[in-house]
Amino acid sequence: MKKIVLVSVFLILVCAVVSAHPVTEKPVQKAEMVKFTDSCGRTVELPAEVTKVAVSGNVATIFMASIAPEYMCNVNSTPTAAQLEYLPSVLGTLPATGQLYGGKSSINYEELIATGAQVLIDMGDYKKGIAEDLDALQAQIGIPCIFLEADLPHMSEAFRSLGTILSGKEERAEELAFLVDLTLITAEVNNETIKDEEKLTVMFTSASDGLGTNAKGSSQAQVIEIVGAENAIVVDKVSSKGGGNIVSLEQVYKADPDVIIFSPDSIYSTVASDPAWKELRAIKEGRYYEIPGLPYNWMSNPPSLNMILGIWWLGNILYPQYYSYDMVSVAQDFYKVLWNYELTAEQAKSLLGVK
Amino acid sequence: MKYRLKLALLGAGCLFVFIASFFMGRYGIDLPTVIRLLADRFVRMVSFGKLGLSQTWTGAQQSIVINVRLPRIAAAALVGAALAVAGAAYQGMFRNPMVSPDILGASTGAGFGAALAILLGFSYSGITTMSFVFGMAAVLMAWLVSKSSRIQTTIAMVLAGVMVSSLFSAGTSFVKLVADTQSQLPAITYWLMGSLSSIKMADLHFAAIPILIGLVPLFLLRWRINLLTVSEAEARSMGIETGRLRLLVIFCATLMTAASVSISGMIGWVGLAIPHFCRLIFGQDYRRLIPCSALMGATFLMLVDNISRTISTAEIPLGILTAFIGAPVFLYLIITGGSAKND
Repeated sequence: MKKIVLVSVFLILVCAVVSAHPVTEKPVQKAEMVKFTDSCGRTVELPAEVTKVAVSGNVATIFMASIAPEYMCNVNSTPTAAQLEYLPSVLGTLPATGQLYGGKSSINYEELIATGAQVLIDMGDYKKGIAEDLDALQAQIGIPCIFLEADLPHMSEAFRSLGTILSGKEERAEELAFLVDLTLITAEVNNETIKDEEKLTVMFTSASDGLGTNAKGSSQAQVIEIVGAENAIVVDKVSSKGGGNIVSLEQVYKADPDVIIFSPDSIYSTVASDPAWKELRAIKEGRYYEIPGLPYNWMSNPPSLNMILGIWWLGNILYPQYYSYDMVSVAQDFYKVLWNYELTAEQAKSLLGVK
Repeated sequence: MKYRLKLALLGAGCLFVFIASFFMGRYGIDLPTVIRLLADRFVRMVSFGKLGLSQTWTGAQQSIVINVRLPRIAAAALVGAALAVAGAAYQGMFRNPMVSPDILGASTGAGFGAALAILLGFSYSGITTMSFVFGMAAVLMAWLVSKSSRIQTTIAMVLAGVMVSSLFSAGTSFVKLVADTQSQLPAITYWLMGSLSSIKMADLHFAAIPILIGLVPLFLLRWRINLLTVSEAEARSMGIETGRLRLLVIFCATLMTAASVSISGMIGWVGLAIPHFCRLIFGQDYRRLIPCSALMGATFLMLVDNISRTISTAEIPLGILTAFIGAPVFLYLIITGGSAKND
């Protein structure tokens, strides 16, 4: 046994030595490269004409699906049939390669390399250590990796960056960036006009039982403050930037929110007859709403591009005197620009839950 | 079958799986290219980069074989061997077959360290280091407690280990509670499930040294571990002082467990079940049990990791697969019974 192993090792060595020769650096013919500095200050060489992009997670998936779905090589997870109704159909056919979580990931690297992507784009909130992680990843998979900060204040900038990277997408990027800027400026102006006595308090429930809430200060609940309302639920220490505090009904009665918004597929439809809920002022006055949930939840989840729609929606519900427009046609316009989807008035109404 | 033959077969199987693993993956690469790539890497290594094979492969192929598959397969072998040997050593020392490498809190400590590092926004290498440090610290705590206790050492140590473990797992739960649900919480959860998907060469270098430092003494002292399997009183009556040996075994096994967990996350099951597999085949003697556990652990984890990285476009965490694949086999073995002569 030992002999066989030794002999085979020896043979392998001989073969290797025989075929070895001095290493010479060959000048490699490379496609034209340009330097790009990403949001964490890393300068990376990218091909001048990028037409194949890999995404690292759900935020990058949403942005790419909006700006250039035809350039996408993968998605983080395959959208559901209900989501695909509104999203570019190519998303349903791309390999679902998982998510990059800091250094660890559920991404199958081989699958990622096999897609032939020219660049891997990671988007989302800035996190410490991300530069180091991406450097290591880039060295390992041999594909340039970049990070673009894409929270609400940086969203239009992120689109413009994508416009400079992606081949022939500058105009498209500008269109989307403009939409983001317009939304944020509208909200800012209205926010300043809304008088203190007009301010409403909103409870944003996140769990299906209505008792998980995105409290004041959580990144999921940003939209509430942006449109000029107060988050009704204030907890001592926000359990996380991501939200999901569990509150008791007692606390809800104590907070007495003016308006309650429920997640899609939650107890929204039954609260009016639920003895525990129906005595709440917001429920009695009929000031409770279900958040439109397709293709992505308009308020958050993920807290990304979809929140732009949430701003127009929530603003219109809370302060129609300032956010005065027909939400049905706004939704139609936005679906056209964001997803290149022709939303009919009936579909818009059904999403918005209006009759 | 003779022990030597069985061992040789096991070794050959391990080697075969190691080599065969290089040819498996989502990205199809033909056999000669893989061989040339590996040969090139080897020649470059022994000639300090002066010699190499003429390049017939693409950059993508090189990335996959050298930067993705090589560190992963090597890590699977190393972690599998380390966890199995650590498990075998702990089981012998505590004279308890239900003991796994996390008995003294090494893996829960490591898990807590990693969760904390993710919460604090550390980078990948920071997470690995924190995890290793906390894994060692947990066992140190358990050991110090047991030393200052008046109860019999082994029992005190197990009790202290269980308590330290529960402390750290409560700590992990708390970290999860306050973590950002959008990015940190899934990162922690995913880390705790155990995976080799992001293993890089640097991780391998980081873990290889402590694992070898733990593995070599256990291997050399393997016959002495048999002494630990008899009760302390009995050992003393034979004129053997087991105190220092016990400490050494704990140190080695802990070092290996903490180093493994710090690069791979929590991979349960291997450390508990692989030594039992080996007992069913090779009996109770630690002279045989240690090398066999190492080989079988390495083979098993390489096999499971091959499944993890080929079965789907997104990775299935290894911690899940080891149990899914291993547990039914193990149950079958329990039902049919092995050839072991249990004492």
